[in-house]
Amino acid sequence: MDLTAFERNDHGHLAGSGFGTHPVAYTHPPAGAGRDNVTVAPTVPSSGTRGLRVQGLPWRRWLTTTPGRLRSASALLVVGLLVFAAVTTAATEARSRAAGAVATSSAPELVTAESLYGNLADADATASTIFLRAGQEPRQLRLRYLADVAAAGRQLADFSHSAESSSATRAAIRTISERLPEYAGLVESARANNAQGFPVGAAYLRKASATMHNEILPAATDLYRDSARQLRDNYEAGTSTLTLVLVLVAGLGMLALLVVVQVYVRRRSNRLLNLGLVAASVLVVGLLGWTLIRFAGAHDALNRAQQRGSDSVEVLSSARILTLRAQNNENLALIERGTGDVYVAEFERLMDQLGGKDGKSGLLGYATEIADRTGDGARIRALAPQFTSLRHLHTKVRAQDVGGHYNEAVALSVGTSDQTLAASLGKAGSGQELAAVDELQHALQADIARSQARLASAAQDARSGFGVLEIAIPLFAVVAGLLVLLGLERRIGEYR
Amino acid sequence: MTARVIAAGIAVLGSAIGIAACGAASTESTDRALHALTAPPASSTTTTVSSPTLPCGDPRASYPPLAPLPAAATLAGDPAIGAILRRGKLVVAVDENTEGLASRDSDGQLVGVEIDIARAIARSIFDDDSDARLQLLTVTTKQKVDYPARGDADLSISAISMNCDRWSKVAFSTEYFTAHHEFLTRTDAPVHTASDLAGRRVCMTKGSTSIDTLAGIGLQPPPKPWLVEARTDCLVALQEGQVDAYFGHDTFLVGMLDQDPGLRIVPEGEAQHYGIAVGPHNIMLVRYVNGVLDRLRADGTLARLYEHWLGPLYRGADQSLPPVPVADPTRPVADEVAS
Repeated sequence: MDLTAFERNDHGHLAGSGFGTHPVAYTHPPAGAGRDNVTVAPTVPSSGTRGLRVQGLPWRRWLTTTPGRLRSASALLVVGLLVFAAVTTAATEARSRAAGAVATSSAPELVTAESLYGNLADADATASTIFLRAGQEPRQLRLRYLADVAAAGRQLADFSHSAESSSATRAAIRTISERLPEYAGLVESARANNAQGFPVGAAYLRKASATMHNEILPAATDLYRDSARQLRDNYEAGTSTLTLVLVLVAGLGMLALLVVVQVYVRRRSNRLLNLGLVAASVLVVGLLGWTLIRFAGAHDALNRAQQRGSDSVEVLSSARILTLRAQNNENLALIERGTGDVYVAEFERLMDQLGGKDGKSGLLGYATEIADRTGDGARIRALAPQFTSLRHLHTKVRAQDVGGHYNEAVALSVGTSDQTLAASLGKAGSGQELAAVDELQHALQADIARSQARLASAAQDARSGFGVLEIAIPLFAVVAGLLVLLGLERRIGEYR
Repeated sequence: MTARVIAAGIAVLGSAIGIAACGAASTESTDRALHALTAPPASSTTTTVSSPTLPCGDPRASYPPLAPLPAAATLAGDPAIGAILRRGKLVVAVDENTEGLASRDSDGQLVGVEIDIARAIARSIFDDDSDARLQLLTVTTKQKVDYPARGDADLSISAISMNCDRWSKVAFSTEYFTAHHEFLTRTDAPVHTASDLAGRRVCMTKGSTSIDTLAGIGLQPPPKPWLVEARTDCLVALQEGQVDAYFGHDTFLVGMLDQDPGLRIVPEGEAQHYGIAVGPHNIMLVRYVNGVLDRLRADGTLARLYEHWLGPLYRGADQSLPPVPVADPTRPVADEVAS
């Protein structure tokens, strides 16, 4: 803002160079003027006088006069307001961008990465279940497998469309895009050979699963790791202390400046308060308060997004994936018919990771701790009996298989359409293990959906309100600047 | 009023700082979730350490059969046979991956020459042909000798070639089938004799005798072995074009040809003598089994089983069904008991 805009130019000619320097004579000292009140004889810029002159005085001397001081004070305040506005805008912008990124990119990306992984693991587990049901392939399982593969393809496309992907993400997407059709082809070869009773079908399925586990899932893990890191970076940027401190320093500095000028003006004039300055102070306090409250609100919302949202999305998704992978290994152990010791060991390892011995430790135990934050702990705790029943069923299936009762083992695990065989398995019937896995993973999926909803709504809370604030900051600063100038101009005017 | 404004400002500031102080984003959940997904898989604990091959004479020579075959009940004093009788069933390890010898039919039932031999032995011991008298355990190539050696199975009838290395772990019955090492290759592959495979990739099963046999042929440059866990993995490798040939017993090859007509057999021909593996000290059980085998040979059952289970497969592959081998019961019993 141009300082000279408020000067009266009614006295004639411009002299010298620089901005708006012109001789003005103060002939009438204002009533009640203070000690620094100076009367200066009209001066004509002489050729011998050098430097900037203000109101007929060299600028250094002019600054020591009351109007000079008042004018510099108003300039200082305006500049201060500009700095305050700029700093607050930058800080708000940084936090708003981070919160917006959580809501629009990193949180949805994390969810996509998790469900991509989940769909791949589900496809693999379902393919091996279908294989075991050869000749009586249940249609809904086949549809589930196809839906999993289709969904994985869609999610992969979603990923490649999201703009800011790291090179690790791009490499992972490339790997999955290349390997997924290969995987699907191997599964179909397995299915076709198996349908004709060719033992090579099992070899194809084994190869498909190896492709999934050695190539595709590690890439999916990379995607997931990258999204989790992105989200964490956004959380950190959205709650950074630096932005808060900058706003505080700028705002409090501005207030201090306003108070100092107010005190000075009060000493110079007999008026207690300068309305313009007071109004500007109120605006600054209001803006500072508003910004801090928004920051606190966004901070709180981001904390909620993590504590009540993404933390449980991550842990529960991993738990569901472990469940599906355990199921797949159980299936492979059966498909291998005696050569599957590695798969049995892997099943045990995955189950230990998932819930320890009793479903109360491991990832499920940790998920319970997290769910307690939202009061959902009881629901996760309720999964422990299902977990132990799955372990128990696994023991029964293994016992049947090792005891040479292969058909019973398969029927107990994934079901059978042979009525007499099913009847021989007791009241609970065939397919008990598959049912136990499904119950467990559906319960987890329901809680994942709840966590996703909490994550999305908290992320929305974190970014809402920043837009208005970002408009308000320059607006408040401009109005406060005008109020300062008007307020001080009236005092300055008293010296004319 | 200014003072109040300042006070309000300080209050807001205080609360904001308080919230800011409650910590940066924790990574614990991410770390734990990721750790669960990336922990290394359970590793295969099976490592085959081949023991030094001791001289064992003719690996085909087994102990003399019990003839005429006594009722098993009269042999209850023998520890191994006594244990089988007390248990009420015979436990037999089988390799279910060989069509014709032992594989599952479309109902999931184990069928084949080896299954029927196991059934015949169980029927003879218990004088009872109920299925409950026979328990079949399916094993891998790597496990098939270890099961009887450790006592996890009474017998292992799973296409085991008798050799001196294996004689150091188990005792064998007389030969019940003669297989031959052959190559399996794609119909369009430029491979017509074994020598065409010099320097090419050849698939074999880990832990099988084929690895040594192939090295013994002395092709120059030597073929590059491509080792897999299961024989059917070799068929996949052939179909997917990862290897030029599979090297294995004709018993396996004819089953693969049945699954894929786009393959053909390139002869090599080294004979492989299949025997039933028994725990190393269960000499009486070996002699009993030899007695049963002699009976199956004599009454034509074995030849009939060959024809029933393997005839179509061998003919489909343009191979001639091998004749029922002549038993060689010349291993001195006293020697083995003394050691």
